[in-house]
Amino acid sequence: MKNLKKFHHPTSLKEALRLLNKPGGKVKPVAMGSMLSLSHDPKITELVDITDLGLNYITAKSGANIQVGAAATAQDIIEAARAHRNAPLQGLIGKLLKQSAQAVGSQQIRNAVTLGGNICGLLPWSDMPVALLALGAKIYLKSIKQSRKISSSLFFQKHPVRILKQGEICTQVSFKKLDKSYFGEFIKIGRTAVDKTIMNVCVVFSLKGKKLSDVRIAVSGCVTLPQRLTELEKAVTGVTIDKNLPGIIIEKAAAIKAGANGRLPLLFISDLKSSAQYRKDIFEVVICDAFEKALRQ
Amino acid sequence: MKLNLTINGENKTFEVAPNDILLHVLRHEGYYSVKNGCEEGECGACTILINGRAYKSCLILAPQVEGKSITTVEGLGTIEKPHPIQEAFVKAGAVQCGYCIPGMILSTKALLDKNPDPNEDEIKTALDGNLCRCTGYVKIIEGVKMASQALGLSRPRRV
Repeated sequence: MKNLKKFHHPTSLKEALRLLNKPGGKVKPVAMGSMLSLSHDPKITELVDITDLGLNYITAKSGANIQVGAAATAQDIIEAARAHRNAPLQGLIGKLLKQSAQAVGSQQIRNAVTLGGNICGLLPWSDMPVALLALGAKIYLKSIKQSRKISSSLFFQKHPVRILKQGEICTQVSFKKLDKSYFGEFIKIGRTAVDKTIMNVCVVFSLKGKKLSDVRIAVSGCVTLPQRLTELEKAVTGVTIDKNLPGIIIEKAAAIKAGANGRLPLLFISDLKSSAQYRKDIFEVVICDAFEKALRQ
Repeated sequence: MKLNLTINGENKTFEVAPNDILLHVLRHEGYYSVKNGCEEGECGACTILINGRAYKSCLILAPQVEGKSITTVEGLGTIEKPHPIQEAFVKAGAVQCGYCIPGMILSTKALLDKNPDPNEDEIKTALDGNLCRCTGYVKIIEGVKMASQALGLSRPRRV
């Protein structure tokens, strides 16, 4: 950022939002800055540090939704989901957020990456969005002019750069609690445990008797934007949990991949970590694996 | 702009540019234990502790540590009086070329301050951001275990 001239340390969220409310994309928010420090964007002239504005909370009041502040780091989330009675992040939401937070990168990166940064500064290898999509999270956005709440499905329909309005930041993400009939799993495929992802998948479903219900399947890392596979979700809803399930999931996922029901085939990405062909080859296998792991609980 | 922070317990004020990377500032100010390995957050040779947690200083803009407390290896021990972690690494044979070691030591410190008796998986998780081209990691993990034992012996025990 060769044109960076000012670095602000606001003492309140209101002050931060006022500083961010400048047109032209020249003023950006920064938390621990693991992404911005490597940026060569010549447009950025000012940064506003939002690390110490109290947005790092993780709360789960009895009976209410779970709220995670945008400045909560991956490590904060992992620690909040530790297996003990008083942990703020419990149950399936805690499990999936913890799995996706652990996937974010190495220890030093987990200490730095924030939930808000991971979803707003969206990169193809951002690991947490699929968990938000599969859990049906709501994303809270705020600017000096307005506050709004947007579903994760809408938020990730385009790159957040095109969703966020001038001076707007994410302040928190909320999750509706799920009852004990829900199961889920997050899987990351990468060359190493801390490497950038080749494919992320997060599945969540409920079991009604022995049938799949309320199925959510989210993928990222293999396609341009994180997304729910709504056609596949419909195709496997109502399917019975028996030895035929893996075969059905693979068959349906392969059909969606190839472009079923008049839809275009999925477009897989190529990058330094993997080819589009490899991502295409593993697609339905990883999704099936996620269902199998979830059902093993 | 002025940057006010604490390094190894000492209050410091530096003159920095808003886009200065913390790694370069620290080395410019004489903290040579903070190594420039990859400059893109992969190798961990630039690891420092900020308020007790490990971070890669090549990914941090200097102004972000305004008012914070940083620890480098210079603040842990000296040749005359090494820190138990440093002693353990030497005794375990965990040091070959030495380039990754400051980062390894600080990641170990952050781990043991929080979890004095980690198992091997916890050690690997805590050090998964520190690469070593020389040792194959076996002796480093042994060094962490030895340090954990050494520090455990020096802590008061409940009767």
